[in-house]
Amino acid sequence: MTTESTARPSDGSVRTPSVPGEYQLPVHFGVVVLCTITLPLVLWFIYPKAPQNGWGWDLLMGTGMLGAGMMLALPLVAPRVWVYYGGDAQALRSLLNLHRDVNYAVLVLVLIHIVGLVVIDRTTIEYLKLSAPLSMLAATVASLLLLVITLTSRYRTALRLRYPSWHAWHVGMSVLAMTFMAFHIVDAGYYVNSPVKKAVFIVLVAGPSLVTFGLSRWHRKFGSATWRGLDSRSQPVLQLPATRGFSVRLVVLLGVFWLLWMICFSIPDGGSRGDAQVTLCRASECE
Amino acid sequence: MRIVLVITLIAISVIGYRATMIRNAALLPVAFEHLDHSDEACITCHHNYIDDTGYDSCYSCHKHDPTVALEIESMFHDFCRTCHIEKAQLGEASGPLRVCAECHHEGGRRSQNLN
Repeated sequence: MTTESTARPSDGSVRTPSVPGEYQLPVHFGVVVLCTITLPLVLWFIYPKAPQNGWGWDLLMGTGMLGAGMMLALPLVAPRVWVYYGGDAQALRSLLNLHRDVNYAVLVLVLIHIVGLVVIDRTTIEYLKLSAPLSMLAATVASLLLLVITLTSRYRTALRLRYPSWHAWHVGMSVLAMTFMAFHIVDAGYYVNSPVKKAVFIVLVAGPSLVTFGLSRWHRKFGSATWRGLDSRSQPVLQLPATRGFSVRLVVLLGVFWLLWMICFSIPDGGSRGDAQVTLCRASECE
Repeated sequence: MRIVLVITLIAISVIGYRATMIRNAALLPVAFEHLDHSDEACITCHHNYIDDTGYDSCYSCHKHDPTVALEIESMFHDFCRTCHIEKAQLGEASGPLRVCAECHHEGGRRSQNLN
């Protein structure tokens, strides 16, 4: 990520021409998106910290949490809202690509989270059944909704879905998917494990959606007298490569960040579960 | 509108079928070591000693009593895990916390054979 200026007009603002093949996001907007993605992870490490469950298990849980964070950022990068607030066609096209790529990244992370857990602990397959607890059932529904949203968006024209009805369903299913995802994390209550953390998480879930919804309503009410937060012609911008592999690179980058964090987190502390305690719990002697 | 109606009907059917599935689901084998829990007061788990709510084994009663049968998963998991997590957070020996297979493994008691 680089902040680049190519021309400086007389008013002192930084102008960057639109370059095909690049995402151009105002710096402060990029920071907000990045914070939204990482804050759920940060919650994990705030007191009272959940005890460890082994490196593989915690890593897969973190993968799911990272996917949740990226899911929360999706409404922020919905071009439909920002189209009212300035920004040239290229900026909005970049935003659309980013929305799509972040969504693919969420799908990848959710898939790793689910398949990985089944691989390292076959018993977790019980949580994919209809008899699973509601919080797990909610996660399954959220994942399926995410898949439906992705497929209907990717193949909208092939499926002959009219834009207005597709858009209404897209928004409705997205809100449902995020609600179910939030219920999954809050009701499981292991990493988001205190009333304060739960309240903060709910704000994190509702915040981006409410902000984007509010901005679109604001525009309808007050017309053009609005915040031009996405106008890349008058602000310093982040320039990111908009190649097909960007979502993969984004996941890898955040994965490396997460891995480093996990290594720090996995240093044994007083609250960790020791292996000796597990071996004491023998079934053969159970009466 | 028709789609919403169909989805609502499917959701209602699923919710009804889910209750049947929970009642009929076989319980997983569970590893439990009494000696590991000897620091706890008996009535912490064996509440029926004082409240006369049942005389059979824990699993049998919670599985077959219709008033609690649908909540068996959350009742056992919340009960065991809450205590284990509290101990782990205090730095004490805690036992398994979250990983399913640490309690539910083949060497465990075959609770689904209870009738």
